[in-house]
Amino acid sequence: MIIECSHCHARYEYDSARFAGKPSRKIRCARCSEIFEILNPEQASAGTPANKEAADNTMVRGRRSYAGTSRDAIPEIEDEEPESSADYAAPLELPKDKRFSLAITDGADAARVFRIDRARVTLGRSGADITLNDVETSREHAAIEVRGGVVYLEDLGSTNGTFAGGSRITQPVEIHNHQEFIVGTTTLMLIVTALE
Amino acid sequence: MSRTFTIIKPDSVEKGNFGKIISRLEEAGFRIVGIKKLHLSKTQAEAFYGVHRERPFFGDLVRYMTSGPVYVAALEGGDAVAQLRKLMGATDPGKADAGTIRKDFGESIERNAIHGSDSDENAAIEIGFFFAQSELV
Repeated sequence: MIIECSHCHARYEYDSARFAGKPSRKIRCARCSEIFEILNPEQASAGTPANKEAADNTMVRGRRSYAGTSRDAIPEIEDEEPESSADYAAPLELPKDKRFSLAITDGADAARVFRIDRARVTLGRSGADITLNDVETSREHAAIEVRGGVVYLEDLGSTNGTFAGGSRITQPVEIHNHQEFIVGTTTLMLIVTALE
Repeated sequence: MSRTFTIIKPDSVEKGNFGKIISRLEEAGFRIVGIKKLHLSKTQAEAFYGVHRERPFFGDLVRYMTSGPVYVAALEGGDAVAQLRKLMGATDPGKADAGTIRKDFGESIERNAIHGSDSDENAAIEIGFFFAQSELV
């Protein structure tokens, strides 16, 4: 589906699966930083006439309306609220057709790239699978889990928190290819590579 | 296997295209040996582009490259320098071949999405400018 910023009218492609059953989501516009709300069209159409009308007339619009829009010109967006997913119950397993890596893009360890070679790896100052040279991280600060081909980020009760999509996470959240997240003062990027 | 160096430029980061560009690099077979997100200082940009210091566009280039964050990366692959330059396309996005990064994401000769080393020798110099040898393992 195509969504549109209520302020600058920038249009973005949005995977409606990311509603994860919620009636609405808050989105921060990548162009103007406006935070706007989008409505889940599936829930709106099943709801009251007022809700249905709102879904038809607000930022939520079908792709067909913008058939001429260049998809390549649409910048990425970030959810204001990190999402969790019902698929978190899927078993821990690395898919054979993808390779997952974590690149440290900012912080004392910037430039390092780690291959995720197990379905669950922990990050932290000491005793973790991936050791971070960052005193602001807890010993075991966060974990990355791969379940059903989806990558989840979980905070392990750290002192200074784990941040994704601009918010401190309180439960496992799905992270996407090339999304960055922050533990302590370290920024990491998930890199997913399709294998031949 | 050889290495080359790339900068995903401020216009790509500003427009949120860096992820798509990284995907293009990976799909072409490059391994990302190291990557950093930086906001270049004027001093860094002037030093990096020092070879162009006498050119008329130097001031604009430095202003542009310091206008927002960039990603710098060391890449590894077969015939890396030539492969990256083919993938990037011509400096002017308007003259770049279809399917190249600059054709798809560049706006102008200056805001042309990506930088790539032009020789093995310069790749080594440029990698060394941003990365310590110990960081690239």
